[in-house]
Amino acid sequence: MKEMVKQLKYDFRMGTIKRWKFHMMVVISFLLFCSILAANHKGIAQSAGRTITGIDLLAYLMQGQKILPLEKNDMFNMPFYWFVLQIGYLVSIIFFPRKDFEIHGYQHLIRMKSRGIWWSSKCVWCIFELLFYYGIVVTSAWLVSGVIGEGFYTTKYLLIGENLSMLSETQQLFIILVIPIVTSIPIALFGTVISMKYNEMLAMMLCMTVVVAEVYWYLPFLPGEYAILCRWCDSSQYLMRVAVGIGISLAWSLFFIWYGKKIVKKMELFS
Amino acid sequence: MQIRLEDASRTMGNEKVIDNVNITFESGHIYGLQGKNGSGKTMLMRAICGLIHLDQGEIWLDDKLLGKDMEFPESVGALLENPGFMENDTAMRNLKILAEIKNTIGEEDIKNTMEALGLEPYSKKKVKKYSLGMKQKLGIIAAVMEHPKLIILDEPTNALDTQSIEKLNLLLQKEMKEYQPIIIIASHDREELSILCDTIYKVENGRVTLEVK
Repeated sequence: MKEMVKQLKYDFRMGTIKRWKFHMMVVISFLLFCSILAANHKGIAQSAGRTITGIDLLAYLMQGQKILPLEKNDMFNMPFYWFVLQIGYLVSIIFFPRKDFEIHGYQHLIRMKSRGIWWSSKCVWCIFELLFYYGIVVTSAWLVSGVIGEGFYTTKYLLIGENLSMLSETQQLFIILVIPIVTSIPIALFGTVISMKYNEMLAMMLCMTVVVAEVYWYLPFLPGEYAILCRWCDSSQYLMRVAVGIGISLAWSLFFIWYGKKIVKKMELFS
Repeated sequence: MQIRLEDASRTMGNEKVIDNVNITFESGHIYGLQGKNGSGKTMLMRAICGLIHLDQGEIWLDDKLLGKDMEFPESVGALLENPGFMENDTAMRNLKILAEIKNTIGEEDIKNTMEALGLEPYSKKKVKKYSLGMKQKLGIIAAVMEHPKLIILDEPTNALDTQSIEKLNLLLQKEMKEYQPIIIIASHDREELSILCDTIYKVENGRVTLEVK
C-alpha cells in the first residue's frame, strides 16, 4: 500500500502537475468554446424568456447528436463540441503512461519492485486525470457564465432539447456532471492499454474510431452511447439507462484494468 | 548474497543476445563484463535487473527465482543506457524523488554521494542544462546512493573525465568496503575494468567466458 501511495504521488506530480502547460491549453480552449456557445445561443435563451446558464453551456458541450436512422438520407455532421470534449481527455491521458514507462520506467520499477503497482497507479491516475479534466470543463462553464453575468444554476428547461425537460433537475445534473466521467473511464483505459501494447498514435486512432462509431450508430455496448446527452430523452427509462451505462462502463473498465496488467507484466524495458 | 545464472538464454529476432550463460556473482566482489558494442552486456544486465525476461534458463538470487518468486531483485541500483531523469528539475530534486520510493536514505546521504562524485548538491541548475558527463554522474549516484546489495553499472565511465573516473573508483571502493555489495560493471575497455574488478568476463555474441586477469 505504501508503495502504491508513493507511485500515485509520483504519477500525480508527473502526469498532472508537471503538465500544467497542457492543462492551461485545455482551460483556454474550453473558456473559448463556452464563450462562443454563450454568444451563439444567447438569442435562443432570450426567446425562451430566460438567460443562458453555466449548466446550459455544459449541456451544449455534451449534447452530441441523435442516432441517424440508416434509411434516412441525413447528412452526417460530427457534433464538434462533443468530439472535442472526447479528444481532449484522450490526449490528456493516453500519452503519459507509455512515455513514463519508457523514460522513467526502470528507475522506478527496480525500486518499486512491482509492475503491478506501476499499472494500478496508472489506472487510478487515469480516473484522477479525468476528474481533473472534467473539473476544468465545468470550471470553464462556470467562469464564462459568471463573466457574462448569467450565473451557473440549474433550470428544468435546458436549452438543448425538449426531451430533456422530461427529466428532473437532479436527473439532468447527474447525466451532465457524473455520467460523462463514468463513461469516459473505459475509453481512457482502452487507449492506455493500446498505447502500452502498441503505441500512442495507434491508441489515439482506435479511440477516435470508437468515438466516431458511438456518435454515428446506436451501439449500446459502448459507453459513449450514454455520454451523449440528447439521447437521454425518456424519463421512464432513466434508471435503466443509468444502470446500463454505469454497468457497461464498469465492466469495460475492469476488463481493461485486468488486460492492461497482463500486458504490463510482460513488458520489457530496453531504453 | 549470491546471483546465479543457469543456462540463461534470450533470443531477439534471429539473434541470441544472451546465449546459454552460466555465471555466479557473490557479495563483496566487483565483476567486469567486457565486450564490444552489441555483444550482449547490457541485455545480460537488464535480465539480472528483471527488466527483460529470459527465453530459457533461470536467474537465482540466493534461493529466490527471478521472475517467479520476485519480479525484481530485492535491492538493486542500476545505471543503464538511459537513466531517464526529470529534465526540468534539479539533480537533488530528482534524487530525492527516487529516494522517497524506498525511503531508506535521507538528504544527507544523497548529498554525500553527490559530493563524492563531484556534483554540487544544491545547484539550482536543471538537469536539462547538464552536460553528458554530469548526467552520467547523476545516473551513477542514483544507482549507488541507497547502498543496494547489487549495483549494476553499464559503461559508467562514458563521458567522464579522468578526475571523475578516479572519483568513481574511490566511491565504488568505499561502497565495497562499507556495504559489501555485488558490483557488476560493463565496459568495452578491458584496462578500465582491470583497475577495479576482481573478475572479468568476456561477452561475445551473447556468450560469456571467464577472462584471466
